[in-house]
Formats: sequence, structure tokens, C-alpha cells
Amino acid sequence: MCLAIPAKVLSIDGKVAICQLGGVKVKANLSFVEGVDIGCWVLVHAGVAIAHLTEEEARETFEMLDEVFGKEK
Amino acid sequence: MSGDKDIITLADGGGGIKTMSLLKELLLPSVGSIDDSMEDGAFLKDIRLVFTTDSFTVSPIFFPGGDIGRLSVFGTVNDLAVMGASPDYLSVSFIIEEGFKKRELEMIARSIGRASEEAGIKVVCGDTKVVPRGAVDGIYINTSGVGRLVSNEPLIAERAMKGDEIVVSGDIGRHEAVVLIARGDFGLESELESDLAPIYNGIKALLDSDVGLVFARDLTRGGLAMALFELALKSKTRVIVDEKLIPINISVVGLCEILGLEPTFFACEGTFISVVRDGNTAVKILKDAGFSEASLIGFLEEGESIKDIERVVLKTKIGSHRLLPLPTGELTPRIC
Amino acid sequence: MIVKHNNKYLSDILANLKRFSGLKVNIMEVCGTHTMAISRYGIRSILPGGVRLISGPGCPVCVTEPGVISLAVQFAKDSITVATFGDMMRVPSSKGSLQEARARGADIRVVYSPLDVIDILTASPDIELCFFAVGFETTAPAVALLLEKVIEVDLKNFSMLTSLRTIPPAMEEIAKDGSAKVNGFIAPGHVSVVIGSKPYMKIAKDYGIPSVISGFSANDIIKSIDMLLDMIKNGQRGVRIQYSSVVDEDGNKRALNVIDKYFTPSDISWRGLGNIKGSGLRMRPEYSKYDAIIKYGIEIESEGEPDNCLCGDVISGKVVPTDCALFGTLCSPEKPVGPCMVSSEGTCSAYYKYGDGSIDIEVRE
Repeated sequence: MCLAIPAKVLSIDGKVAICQLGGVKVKANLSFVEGVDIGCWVLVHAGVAIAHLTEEEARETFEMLDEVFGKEK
Repeated sequence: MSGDKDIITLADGGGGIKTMSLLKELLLPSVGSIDDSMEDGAFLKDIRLVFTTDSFTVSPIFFPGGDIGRLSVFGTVNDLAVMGASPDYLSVSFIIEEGFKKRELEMIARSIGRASEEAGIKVVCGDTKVVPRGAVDGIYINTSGVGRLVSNEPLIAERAMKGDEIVVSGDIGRHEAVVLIARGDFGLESELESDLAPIYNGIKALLDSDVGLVFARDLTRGGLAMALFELALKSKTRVIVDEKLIPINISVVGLCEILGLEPTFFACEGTFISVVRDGNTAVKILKDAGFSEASLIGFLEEGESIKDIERVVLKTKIGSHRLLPLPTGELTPRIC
Repeated sequence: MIVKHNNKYLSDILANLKRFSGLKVNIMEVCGTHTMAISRYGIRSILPGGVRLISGPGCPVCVTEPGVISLAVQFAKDSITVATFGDMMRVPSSKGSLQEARARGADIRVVYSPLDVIDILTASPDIELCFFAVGFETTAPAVALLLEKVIEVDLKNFSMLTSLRTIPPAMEEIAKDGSAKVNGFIAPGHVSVVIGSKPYMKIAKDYGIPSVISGFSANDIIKSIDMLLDMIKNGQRGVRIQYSSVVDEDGNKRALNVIDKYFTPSDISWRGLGNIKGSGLRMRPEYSKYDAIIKYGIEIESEGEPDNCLCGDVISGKVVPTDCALFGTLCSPEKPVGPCMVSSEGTCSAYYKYGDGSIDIEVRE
């Protein structure tokens, strides 16, 4: 169960962020990551953010995002 | 191993392999002389009608893109359509839990009315039962439909053969993804809407052309994977599809990544596959008929003497080949 | 938005792999999610012929002793609400599976996150709940957070049946045992986010088996294999990080601290590998009132394996699923005999669903 996904932080309420991956919103507890703001990307496993990553790194991890971002430019 | 054998489990109703077994091993033999081809509908040869029935237990009853009423109409309309029949007449039966809100029942009934108009089908008979609180959850609906066969022969998988091409009418998995999210169990949200829609106009357009339509199947429980497997099994072929060509919405991909699920198993309620001789023209026809994401995804190969579980092969995006798995028992209940 | 596939770099990486054509090596991917990804992408079929991929014990459901699973089922039958990850539902045990118990009326809740348990207890304060905590270091921090919240509000109707394990001791056990003849490890990606790359150094130095910590996309895994083959070919006894966007040497200190706060290493038995010292995570004694085993005063009974089931050997990399006589005959996803066929990350399940990499198709374009 190593399943973890990169997701973009949309809003933060205390220790809990609402994040989004490809249009699906998911809650993530931020207790284990520092300096996370709206717009940051985090790696979420079982409802908990375990790492911080840049948008560029998220795109590499999740190939589908490449085409989405391409369209947004 | 365990006492699994004496009770029905949710997996038995999933629409995958276990459901097929339940039908083949218990229901069909017990009921007796029924056509056991297990098509979406029964073709009544002597009167050239197709007859089909379906029950709807979807939870939640209102979801983005539709509700149980709309679903109960289109579900049956689509079962008629994929056999090659026009949506002529519909029966609607309600089983309602004591305490159910009248306002919601009215919304559902109006939705049935609207959907019937959109699909061009007439509701001609029905039934209503109310049961004590707890005997059902909210409301269950059964619809049965009857329609004249418009194609020369019923569209069945046995007619498909090597060299035929497979076209999918749109992006896969939206209905089940939406219901899973709407159910609220996972605390997820999205803007996705179900693909719930009537498909008869698409089928009719293909029938009216000379693309050589021989089989169509809507991708309900068990999704694309189950539909392709049944196609391959009944036509005794090997199905080869290209992962890069299967249209899928990014939110469905996102959901599957998050929950570790397989999008090809996800039920659709307005998306179908068709098996034709000329896939490229079929795609154009479907796009003209409003199916904007229609795509030619694969073809049939010889498969007389291969193992059943090796019948459906996927060409991955990295160019390798692997089997497309069959949905077994892990499917979610009350999707449709 | 409809996804469009775009794989510019892959053909280069695949072409580069050909420089390892002469090598005859065994690479073990440890993590179950890697096993699944390798099967889904059909990676086995595009590697140079001498490179053999074998699967390791990184499937937490697969390595949980059957006696613990029976205990969970027994709790459910005894009217305790059992919260579990979805993956555990269909694993067979001597008392049946959790799914079967649910079909017979037991209150079993599938959760996606351990933190969902708090929502369940808030919504139903009158139930007695036991959380079946199964996982590795990736999941342990989330479980610790749950424990922290439970302690904060001093919940009386909560307990935990713990089956938490750590990966490096298991990898070392496989290296020490040697019968799987592993030449290199594809180390777990997300476990490493938490523990960093340092824990794999000892295995590289002491046993000469290098590791590459890999991401999960097809690109990531193939690049990692390339890096690993390079290290094996050059005799490099080290650890490299391919998944550098989220993995570094030290790991996630906060997560490691919270694991340490609530858990302590223990000796635990791994299905197929036996007892491995210090490879488990047990709740510290000061929290033992939440330990289901202590709360309910029961013992885990040791159960034998089902007849002819080779899950243990599959998990330890000694055989591949197709070597098992039950594979595809008496054992399949619809009627699994052992956990490797049931778990969504089980090796046998991956082989059964996606094939063993030997599909040979002459396909017209």
C-alpha cells in the first residue's frame, strides 16, 4: 500500500488542506510537511501529506498532468 | 475455505465474473428453459421485438448528471438500443420505503417523464409498492422495455469476427466515478458529471450507414473490461486494444490513482462499444451524432484456441502488451 | 478534460537498456505497488533477456500472519466494529474473510485513511471500534496521528490491532538468506519518502546488493532499472535515488519522530519469511490500553498455510506465481487461496490479471 498521489493545495484550515488531483478534491493532513501554502503541491498517502514537491516535479510524477498544463499555458 | 458458498455476497451482484457464475450455475438452471445467451435483451424472433428489464438501486439517488429516475429510463432504453431495437414502450415499477419524501418521489417521477421524452420512449404501465421502514433503502425502481428490432438481425457478439474493429463512443468511467464521489465515503469532491445519456441515436446512425455494425454493448457494470471480455468470449476472438486510444477524463484518472482502482472496470451509463468493419467511418458518424470523444480503440484477432483469461490484450502506452484484467469481486455496490 | 498520452523520453531510455544485453541478473522490486506497476506497464516483456524481475515482500496485506486476520474476523463476529483498509476485506483466514463476515451482518467499515476512524467514532459514539492497522513506514505516521487524536480526547471505545512493519529488516533478511539470489533492489518509493535512503546503505555495503529508490510511472521504473543495472555491472555497493522529487537521504524527520513517539521496534513474524527481529512496530507500553491484544486479553494463534499455497515463497522471491500449482487453477482472484492473489498489490494477483510478461503478439499497426 505505497499508494500516494501528488495533489495541489487549494485551501488550508489549520492542519488540514483540501488538495486537488486532476479535478478530484481530497483532504490531506499537513502535520508532516513544512512551509506549505495554497498553490503548493504535496504527496498524499492515506489522507496525510508526507512530502512537498514543486509543480514541475508533480508533472514528472504524474504524466497525465503534462498535457493538462500544456493546455493551460 | 470459508462458508462463502451458501450466501449471496455483494460480489455476486457486481456484474463481473461472479455474476456470470451466479447466473450460469444457480439462476438460469433453476428457472429453467430460458435463452442462456445472457445478452442485454431478449430477441423475440416470432414477433421481431426485443424485450429487456433492469432494476435500479443506485445510491445516492440524486447525483451529478442525473438521478435514479433518469437512470432507470436510459438504462433500459440503452439495453434495447445495443440489441438493435428502437425505444418503444417502457414499464416502471417503484418499491418505496415508508418515510420517503413525497417531494423527492415527485422529482424522480418528473425526471422519468423528461427522460422518456428525450429518449422517445413511452411509459405505458407500472406498479407502486410501499414497504415498511428499513425493508428497502429509500427507493428501488425496475423498468422493462420493449422495442422493434430496427437492424436486420439482433446485434450480438457471436456475429463479430477477426478483422472487425472496436469503437468506443466516448470517455469511460464517468458514471461510477461520480457515484463513488457522491456517496461521500471517501471525503472526495469533483466537478465530474455522469455520462448518463440515451444512446439510440448513435446506434441508429451506425445502422443506417454501411460501416457493418454487428455488435454493440453499453459499458455498465464491469465497464469496458467486462464488455470486451464478453465480446471476445462469445465471438471466440482475441481483442486487442490500444491504451493510448481509450478516451478517459482526467478526473476519472485522478480518482482511480487516489483510490487505487481500475478505470476500465468502472460502469458507464451513456457510453458504448460497437464492433464494425470500418472503424474510422464509424467514429466520424458517431461524432456527427454528438458523441464527440468517439474513438477507434482496437480490433479483433483470431482466438479460437486461446485461454479465456488471455482473450483481451492491451497495448500499453510504452508499447508493451499485457492482459486487460477482468473485474472480479471488488466492484462497488449500488452504482446503477 | 480528456487525457492524451505523450511519451517522448521513453524510446530513448528503452534503447539505452540494450547496452545491458549480456547481463544475467535478478532484480527484486520490494514494494507491492511497484509489482503492480511493472505488470500494468508490461515492463517485464521489454527488458533485455537476461534481466529477471522478482517480487518481494512489500505487500502489507500479503505478509500479515493469517492468525492476525482471523482475530480481526473474530472481533467483527463478536460485535466489535472493525475499521480496515479495503485491501484486507477479501483475504481468507481460518474464520473466513472480513467481507464474508460483513455479508453475515458484522459491522465492518472500509477506510481510506486512518483518520477516517475519528469521523466514524464521532458519528457513532456508542460503538466499540477496533482499527486493523496494516502497513509499512508510509502508513505508520498516519496511524500515529490517529493514535494522537484518540489520546487527545481519551476515547474509551477505541483499540487497534497492529500489523505494522518496517521494510529494511525484511530486505536484509532476503539478502542474508540468499536463496532468492538478488543482485539489486528496486527500493520502495513512498516508504523511502519517510525513511530516506540511508537505511539501504547497510545492505549495499554488507551484501554487495545495490538499491535504487524508484518512482511509480513507467518512465521512473525503467530509468531506475537502468540505473540499477549500471551499478550492478560496475560493482557499485551503494544506493541511488531516482525518485528525487520526494526522496532524500534523511527522509521525513517529523514523520519519523511521530512514529518513534508512539511505536517501538518489535520482533514480528512475516508470512513467508518467518520471524524477523526488529521488523515490526508495536505501540509503546504507555499506550498499551489501546492495543486490542491487551485490551481484550487474547493471543494471536499461529495458523498454518493453506495446503500447497506458495505465497510465502512468492513473497520472499524464491518462486514466481506461475511456479505455483494452484495458480490459475484452484487459486484465482474470484476464489483466492492465499493473500498474494487477493491483495491489490499481491504478486499473484498482478501475474493473473496482467499476465506474466510473456504475451507474444504479432500486432498489425
